Amino acid sequence: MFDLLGSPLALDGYRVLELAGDTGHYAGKLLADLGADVIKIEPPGGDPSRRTPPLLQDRTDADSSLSFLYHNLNKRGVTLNLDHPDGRGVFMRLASTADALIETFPPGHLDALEIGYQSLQHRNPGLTLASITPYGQTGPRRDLPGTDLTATAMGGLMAVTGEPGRPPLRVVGDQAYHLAGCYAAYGIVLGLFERLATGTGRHVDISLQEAVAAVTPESGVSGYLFRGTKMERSGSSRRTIFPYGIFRSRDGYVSIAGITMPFWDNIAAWIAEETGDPTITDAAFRVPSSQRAEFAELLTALIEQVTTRYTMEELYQEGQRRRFPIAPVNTPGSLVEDPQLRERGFFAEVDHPAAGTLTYPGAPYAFSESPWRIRRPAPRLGEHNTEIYEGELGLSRTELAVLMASGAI
Amino acid sequence: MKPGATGRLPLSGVRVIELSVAIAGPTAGRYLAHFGAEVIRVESRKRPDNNRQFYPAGSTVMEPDLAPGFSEFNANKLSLGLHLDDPRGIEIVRRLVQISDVMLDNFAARVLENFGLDYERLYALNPRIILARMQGQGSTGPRRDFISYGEQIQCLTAIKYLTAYEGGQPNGPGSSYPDHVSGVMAAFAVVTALLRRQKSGVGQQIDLSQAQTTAAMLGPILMDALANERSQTPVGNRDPAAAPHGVYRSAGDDRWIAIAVQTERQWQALCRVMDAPALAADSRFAALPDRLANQDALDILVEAWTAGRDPWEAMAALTSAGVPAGAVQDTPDLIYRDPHLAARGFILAGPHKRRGTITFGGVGTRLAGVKPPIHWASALLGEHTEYVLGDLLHMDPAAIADLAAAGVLDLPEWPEGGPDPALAIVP
Repeated sequence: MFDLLGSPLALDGYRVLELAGDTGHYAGKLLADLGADVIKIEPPGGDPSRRTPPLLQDRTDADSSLSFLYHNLNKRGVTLNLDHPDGRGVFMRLASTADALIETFPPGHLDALEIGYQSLQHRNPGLTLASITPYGQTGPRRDLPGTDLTATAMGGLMAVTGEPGRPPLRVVGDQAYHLAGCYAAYGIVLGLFERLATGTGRHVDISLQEAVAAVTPESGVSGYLFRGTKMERSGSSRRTIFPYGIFRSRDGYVSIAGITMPFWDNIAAWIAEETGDPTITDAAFRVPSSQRAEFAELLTALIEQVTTRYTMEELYQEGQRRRFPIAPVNTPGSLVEDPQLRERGFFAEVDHPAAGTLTYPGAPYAFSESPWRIRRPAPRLGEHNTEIYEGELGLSRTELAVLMASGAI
Repeated sequence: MKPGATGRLPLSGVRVIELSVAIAGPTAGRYLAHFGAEVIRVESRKRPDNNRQFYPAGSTVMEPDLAPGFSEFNANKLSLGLHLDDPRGIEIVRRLVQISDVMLDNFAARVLENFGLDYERLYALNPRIILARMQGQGSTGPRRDFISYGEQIQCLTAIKYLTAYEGGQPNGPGSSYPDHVSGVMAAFAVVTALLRRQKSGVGQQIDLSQAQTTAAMLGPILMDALANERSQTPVGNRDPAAAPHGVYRSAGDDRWIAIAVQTERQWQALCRVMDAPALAADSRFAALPDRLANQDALDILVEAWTAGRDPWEAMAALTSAGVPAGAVQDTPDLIYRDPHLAARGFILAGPHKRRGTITFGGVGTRLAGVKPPIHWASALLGEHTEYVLGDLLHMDPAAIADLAAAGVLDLPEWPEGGPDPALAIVP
């Protein structure tokens, strides 16, 4: 629709500092990919997230974490030692040039170093600070340790994930950290937008537990209070409604969800046509999906008579043609071949001086006027020290050398 | 009746038209409304939202105003009852576009185009409008019109396959995860576009794909498939960089505790809390690679300790020693047994015209010192039709009455004598 080459990016001109690793780097990525100048600040030895698996071909150098390469795309990077007083001095100068800061230290840590929200606000009233911690900045549990696993437990999502009688299951891929990143990024742009009217920034207080609790079951808090019964773990398929879950195919599983009557009719007509057996179209099964659930075993057998004859892709095409909700249960290997993702340009090549040219998952969205764009690969350790400290903060070469020698940078 | 009447919020003064179904679109609107936007949800009694279709208790009659879960996604929104299958309904949307900042579109991809409300036409009406489309698989491409609810997106993006026990069947998260993620991500994208508009003077179209949004949350796993040609398989609750790392049986019915030991210091602390010096000295568990190699034996020993203990008491003992641990809490626990969430006011409540009060779940984004007011937990279907047409579009009452008589509008069914206290949803 538009020629986007050279178009300005949505967050052009906004600078964000990121004092974060695994728990906060997705927030910075979301902003950097839309054009913000995100500067990742690492301790002089490098952030531990440079070692987060999976690794590129099981290498162990500082540029081989695929997680680091992915989450730090489009950011610049400097080293800085916040435990060193001169390092904190440089940090405050940098912070006075920034619009937002992302941090993941325990509550009160930056305050103890006298570089907390109050000090930052005093120096730069327009700054928005986003803090991401296991339990947020307030409340009786604010100082407790926590991880992705414990947040998924405390936030309520794990209790409904997994099979009955077996241990509740974690959701794959550090989703508590990624959710916190989404909510933090939203809080930051709210702070930036509000500043246009008020001139002042905000403190965004993100709790991993709340990030998970905000995506807990659809029945939700009001649904539970209303019914007084809680949602149970139901494994791969819902047990209280039918069909809503997985069915075997020739090369894997497909999921079929036919809980409305039009969807059920389409499914039943298809099975009857394929098998030549009209049993499934019987009026006894043409009932609300909750009543149909008592026939789940019989109906599953009828449906699998058909699904096991075909591949996932064949079933996906045919089911969608017949208008009922069906999808292949992709593995990561089959997902990266998905024709719709490929057609929409979801995957993008990025060249990195140490990691080489790799294909990355790309944008959640396309903006018509200010595009999502790859501008640079993840920074190498301290890659932009000279560019930022000398070129932008105005430190002299001698000052920089002294700071490096003292371990402040 | 005007929302956000007291106190400024970040999105005060921003007006949003929401065309949506189910969870993803309503969640986007909810996050915008929570922070002060005036969100006008277009609804119709002919095709009520999925979350209005759940029957009230003991009833087999659909009553859109009484469906219990609707408030989870619709607090503080205005409800405009409007039939879009009538050209007069579309004309009202076009007039709203001229006085709005944002339109959210979460219908099937073809629908907006069939209504003549595609971006080019909205731009002609109001070049400042931001159109956020958020279909399951995006608004372009060969599969854009495929039926793609949360369950299908979970399957497509491999989160169903990977969230599973080791060697087990695909399971997936126990919520419509892609919808929730796409909701907040659309809200983020909208505010980003508002920031851009401040400089450029014009709006734009955002084409969010729920599948892409969810796949982006699994970036490193997809990188592993792309760069290493290693298609990961389910590992249950385990983690390649931590051990023990699992969910262990606790005292009580279906009670569990999650424990994640990421460092040697935490491992030593765990052994102290378990009062197991022999374990700390056991060479099978000396360092992380040893513990990863002997996880089955390790998990049995950890569970022997957790099995007789209350999960919250064990959590307190472990976390006070610096070991990350968390009770597996269910929804009633979040409501009744979590003093921390209570102190932070996570769970919300607000008035409802027929139920009196509804208590519902909170949001993931918090601004320190800001407690956005809940003007209403959710609106009756059509509750704000007269406000939107009269106060915002300046139509006179006779014209509104004519449209209502012609079946273009839905007006609310007001309860006689006010809300029935017996219908309230409160803890």
